[in-house]
Amino acid sequence: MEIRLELFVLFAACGLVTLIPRILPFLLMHGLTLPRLLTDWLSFIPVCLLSALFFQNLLVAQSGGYPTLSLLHLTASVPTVLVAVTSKSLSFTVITGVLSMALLRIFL
Amino acid sequence: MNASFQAGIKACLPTVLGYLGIGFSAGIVGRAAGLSPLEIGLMSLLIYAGAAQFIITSLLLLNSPFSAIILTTFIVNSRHLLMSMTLAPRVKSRHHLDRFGIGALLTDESFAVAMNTSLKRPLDAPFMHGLNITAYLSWIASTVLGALVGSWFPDPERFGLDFALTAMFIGLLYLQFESERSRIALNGLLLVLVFLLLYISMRYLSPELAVLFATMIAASIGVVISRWKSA
Repeated sequence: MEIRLELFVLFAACGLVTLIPRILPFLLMHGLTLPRLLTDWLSFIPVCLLSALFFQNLLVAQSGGYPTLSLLHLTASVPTVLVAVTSKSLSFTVITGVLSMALLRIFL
Repeated sequence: MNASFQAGIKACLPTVLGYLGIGFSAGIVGRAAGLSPLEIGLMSLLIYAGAAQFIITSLLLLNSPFSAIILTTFIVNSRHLLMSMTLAPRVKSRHHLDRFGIGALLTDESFAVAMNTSLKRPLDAPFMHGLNITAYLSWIASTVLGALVGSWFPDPERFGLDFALTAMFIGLLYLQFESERSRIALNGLLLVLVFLLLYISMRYLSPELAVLFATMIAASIGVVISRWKSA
C-alpha cells in the first residue's frame, strides 16, 4: 500500500485552504467586544446555516435552470423529522433517516 | 481525565453514528475511485471535511486539474468561516494553541453541538477538545474502515448511508429550534426564507455558494425583523 506524492501535496493544499477559514476567527476574535449588530447577526447563523444545509440535500441542481426537489429525499425526511421531534435524540434521528432511505430504495 | 473533556466526549457521541455512516460511504467511494486506504486516511487526516472529501474524490475521478480541486475545496469549506465567527467569541480559552486546535477541528456537526451546549454550560477548551477529538478520530477511523471493507459493499446508497448526513442536519436543526424557543416563530419564518433563497440562488450559483448566500441574507433579515419587533 502506498501514498502517491502528488496526492499528498494535493491533500495538504486542500487541507490548508480548509484550515484558514476555520482558525482565523479563533485567533482574531477574542478579548474584544464585538458590536451588537454583529453578535445579533451571528446569533441567526446556526438556524439559517443548518436549514440551508438540510435543504441543499433535498434540492438537485440543474444546469441553467431552477433546482428540482428530490421526492426520494423529501419522503425519507418525513419519518426522520417526526422522530427528531418526538425523541429529541440525534442518534435515533440518524438511524431513522438511514433506515427510511434504505427501505425506500428497496421498494421504489 | 478532566471532567470537561469527558463531557465533550459525551456530547459528541450522538453525532458519532452520523460520522460513521458518512465516513464509511466516503471510504467506499474513495476506494472505488482508485484511492488506497492509506490515501483515504491521509485525506481525512489533512482535510477533515465530509462534503469536500466526496467532491475531491469525484473531481480526481474526472481528472480535474489540481488548481480547480483546491479552489473548489476552498469554496465548499468557506462556510466554516461563518461557523468559526459565531463560535469563536463563545469559547473561553485565551491560549493561542487551544484556540488554534479548536478552530482547526471545527465541523458542521461539532459547531451545532457546541452552540447547543453553550446555552447550558460555558464552552471551555477541554470540553471543545473532547468533542472535536472524538469526532476527528471517528471520522478518520470510519473512512479507513469504509476503504478497507468497501469492496464488500459496492453500493453504499442501497443501505441508505448517504442519507446519514441529511438526517444529522435534521436532528441538529431541530435541537437548535428547541434551544431557541423564545424566537421559534421568527426561526420558522427564516427556515422558509432560507428555502426560497436557496431555491432561487441555486439557479445562478453552485450549491455551496448558494448555501452561503441564503444563510447570510436570511440572517440579515432575521436581524432586521428582530430589531423592528423590539423597536
